[in-house]
Amino acid sequence: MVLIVIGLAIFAPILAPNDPQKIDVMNSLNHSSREFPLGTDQLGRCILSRLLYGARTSLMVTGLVLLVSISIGTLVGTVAGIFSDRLIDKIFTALCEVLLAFPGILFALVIAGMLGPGVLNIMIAIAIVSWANYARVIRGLVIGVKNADYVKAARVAGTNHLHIITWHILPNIKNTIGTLIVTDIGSTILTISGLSFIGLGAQASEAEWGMMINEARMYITKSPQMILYPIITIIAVVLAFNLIGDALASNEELEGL
Amino acid sequence: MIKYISKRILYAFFVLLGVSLLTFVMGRVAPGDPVDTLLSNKENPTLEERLEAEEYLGLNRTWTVQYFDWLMDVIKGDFGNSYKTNQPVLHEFMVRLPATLLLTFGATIAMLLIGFPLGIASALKKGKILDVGISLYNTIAISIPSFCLGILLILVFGVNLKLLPVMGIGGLKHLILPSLSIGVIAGAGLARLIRIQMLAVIKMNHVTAARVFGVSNFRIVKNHILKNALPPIITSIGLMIGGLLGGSAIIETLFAWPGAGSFLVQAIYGRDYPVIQAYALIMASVYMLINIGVDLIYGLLIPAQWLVGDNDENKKDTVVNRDSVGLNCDRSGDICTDSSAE
Repeated sequence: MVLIVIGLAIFAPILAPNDPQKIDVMNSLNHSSREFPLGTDQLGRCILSRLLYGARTSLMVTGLVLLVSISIGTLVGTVAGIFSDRLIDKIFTALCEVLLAFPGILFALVIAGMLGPGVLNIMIAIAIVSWANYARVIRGLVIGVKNADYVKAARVAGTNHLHIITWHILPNIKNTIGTLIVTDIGSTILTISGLSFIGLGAQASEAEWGMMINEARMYITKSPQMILYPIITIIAVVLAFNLIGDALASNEELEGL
Repeated sequence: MIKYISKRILYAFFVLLGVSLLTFVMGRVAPGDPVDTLLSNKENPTLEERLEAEEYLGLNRTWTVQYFDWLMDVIKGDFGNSYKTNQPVLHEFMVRLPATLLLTFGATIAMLLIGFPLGIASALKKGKILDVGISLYNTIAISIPSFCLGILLILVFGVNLKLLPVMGIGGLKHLILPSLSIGVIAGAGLARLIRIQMLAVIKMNHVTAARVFGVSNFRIVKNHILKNALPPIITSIGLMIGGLLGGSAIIETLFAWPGAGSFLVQAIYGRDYPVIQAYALIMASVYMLINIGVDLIYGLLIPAQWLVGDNDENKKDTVVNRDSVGLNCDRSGDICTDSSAE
């Protein structure tokens, strides 16, 4: 299911029956037809094509956000974990505490609001909010691994910090980090579509699911199918990612993490 | 006990200080020059006029001085005037805050009413068909963005059945749909958490012992399982309410609910920075207050917690406590982010 979604997103330009931006006011709010399999929106744009291109936007943004926040999180978490008895760890931990003490979505809203609407800005906002969580979990993992005998042995043998991190610690926690990423894909897609829905994310001409739902809201009585398709799409995609995340988490015995 | 509460308040104070620093920095980094805004009605401002404007706004001083000035104003309750309406921001918020709190309250009730029965039922029937069904339902529910659920509810109850109003604020009827759209999803997240916590307790020896002694099922659940599983659950309910508060911004926009969240969204469009900053600080304070309140309830339910909080001399204990509990509810925090956020 997930592979299908990713495939659809990659091959959107080939698969889409119509140009997602093409405006055809004569054919607005149509029901499904041969030319427009899922009908058209208020400007006569093909809903199926827009959904396919929307998958690209959503997955790309989600991927980038997770990549950035997990990189920062890993960097900070490892540094704090390695030097867990020094001042630098105290500073990082305090910073994370402040960030985590405040509900993430509130913060993302405020930051995105300050920066103004735009896809790049919501990416920045979500990344600022979410790295702290990773940093904290990874710090815990690093401390756990650090005290293992083989790391102590490496240290006694005179290995430097960088070598220990890249060869002894990161390989040991990479699976857990991977699981963390997968379990968060679903919620990140949800956050992005939510921010887009209130108009903070993608702008009108771009195809994005949250945005499409927001536009379709005006025509809810006239053509409910226009709003239903993007909703079904979001739910199905997020559900697929969540199911995989759950499966991975129970494999890793991270349930409840 | 007093020591414990004061420690919490001190902690909240530091967090608020951090939040204020962050919002201040964001306000400075944000695009748009306040000097330009002020001089926007002049054709070609000369350098002197610009300097004068900077002086007027206090921008010619170092930013630390600016920060403390601003902080002092904020402590006095002066968040500045909204760029748009030119009214004091604090006043505008106080008008709208009750609506948001009402919505959050409704959503919390819905969340508890859904979360507890489902969570307890699925933990007790672990592996049975009921558990599988509830778990499946929970997974589906946390995958639904709250605004999508809101729209579906509007479609069914508002447009098709015409049973409930879908716009604005009014009687109890107006509260039902918005609360449900947030609460149902958060409830599923809560149910998952309750299930995990209860399963961890059910395995423990004292429960088996009670069962061997022939204690009735109801009493085992009430006295032995729930009581022990409750602490982390209560802590994360506090965290989840924070998510509900933040998530309400989206639902308020959808249902044209005249609360602080929809005010924020309008302010974002209008690039009304004082409003955004005030929103961050006021919501952070409300959230801290709720969490201290939750802690108090927690202390009343499980008095031993006070003793623990009192006996251990310093912060270290709280940090450890937070960590162990924090790890358990991380996931639920996420879930509640999903649920309410989107």
